[in-house]
Amino acid sequence: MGGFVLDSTALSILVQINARFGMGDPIQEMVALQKEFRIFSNKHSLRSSFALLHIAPPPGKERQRWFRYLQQLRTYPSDKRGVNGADRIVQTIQHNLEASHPLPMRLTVHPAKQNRAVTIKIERPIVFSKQKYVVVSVPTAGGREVREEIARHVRARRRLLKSAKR
Amino acid sequence: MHKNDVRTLDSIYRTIDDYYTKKVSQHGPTPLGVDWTCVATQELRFVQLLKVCSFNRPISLNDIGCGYGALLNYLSRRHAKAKIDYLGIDVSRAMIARARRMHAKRPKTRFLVDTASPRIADYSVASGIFNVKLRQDIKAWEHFIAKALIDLKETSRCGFAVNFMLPEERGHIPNRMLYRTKPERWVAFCEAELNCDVASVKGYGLREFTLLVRPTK
Repeated sequence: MGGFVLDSTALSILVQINARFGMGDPIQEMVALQKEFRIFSNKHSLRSSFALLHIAPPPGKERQRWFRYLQQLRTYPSDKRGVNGADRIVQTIQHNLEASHPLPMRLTVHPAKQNRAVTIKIERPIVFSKQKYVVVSVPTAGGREVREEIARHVRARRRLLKSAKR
Repeated sequence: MHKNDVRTLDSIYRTIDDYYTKKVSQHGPTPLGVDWTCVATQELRFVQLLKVCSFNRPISLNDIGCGYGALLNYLSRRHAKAKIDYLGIDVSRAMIARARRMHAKRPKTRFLVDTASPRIADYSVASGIFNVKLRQDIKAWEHFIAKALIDLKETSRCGFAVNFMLPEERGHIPNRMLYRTKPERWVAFCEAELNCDVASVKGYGLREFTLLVRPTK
């Protein structure tokens, strides 16, 4: 995520998603929207579903980058064999919203270096609350980390080219 | 109507006009431009409001507080075959200008800057027009609501639908700029003052209710 959008954008998106899928009224709203419009299904990409729910930064470059990131999640693996990261998220949200007892949902991140896959767990992420959540965790790296990594690659490539010329 | 009442209503309409003109200038013709979170929640409200209508014959429809005409986008997808003579009304000139641009090609579609409909239609709907009270006092705002409901009754042959926000959950600090109420208050008004049959629709995922109001048979 950090390679696509600013850290501040990533943070505000996490807040937005966790507010829209949170306990009580928000998750009830999502359940009703799913029932009426089937927003999350294999007919719609994660990008278009989030666009419909207006889960995005304000219009501008960051918004485009965010949507590009959602597209990119299709190239990420997930904790379910044969299912890419974006589809795993869509399937999880759909399954939960259509369940007889839907749980609130929480989006979080984990270091991509440790695990490149999108993971899903049922947990109690809020330590003082007994409420269970469906926790979706996406692999991410900080923006600076990604830029440093790219710079390292570029330097290594230049070195390689130089030594090849000699 | 008393002179003071007219002045109060004029001031309310001006405030609403200013508020939504600023919104649409800031966000453009989008749900945020009319103060909704997203297309999906906006359309979930249309689903409830349109329960008052029967689409099995051509109908005329007044849309009060139409904004940029988002209802037409929904109708064209969900009720594509329905024959609807549509009139959108809004107090904001900026909203109506955008609505006219967006829906210029749709047949039997008009938009007007006004506070109420000048024509009698089969049905009328008004989505969210009673929610954003801003700094108006409750008495003045409820007077505005009562006036709007009377206008809706007088200009709707077969029925009309409106929505209201329900009170916040216990423990939540209420936003004083919003008007929240229980259904009983306005169900009683529509039954007693307007002599109508009222169905209250709740539990559709939003903290609000929709009143489907039809003339008593």
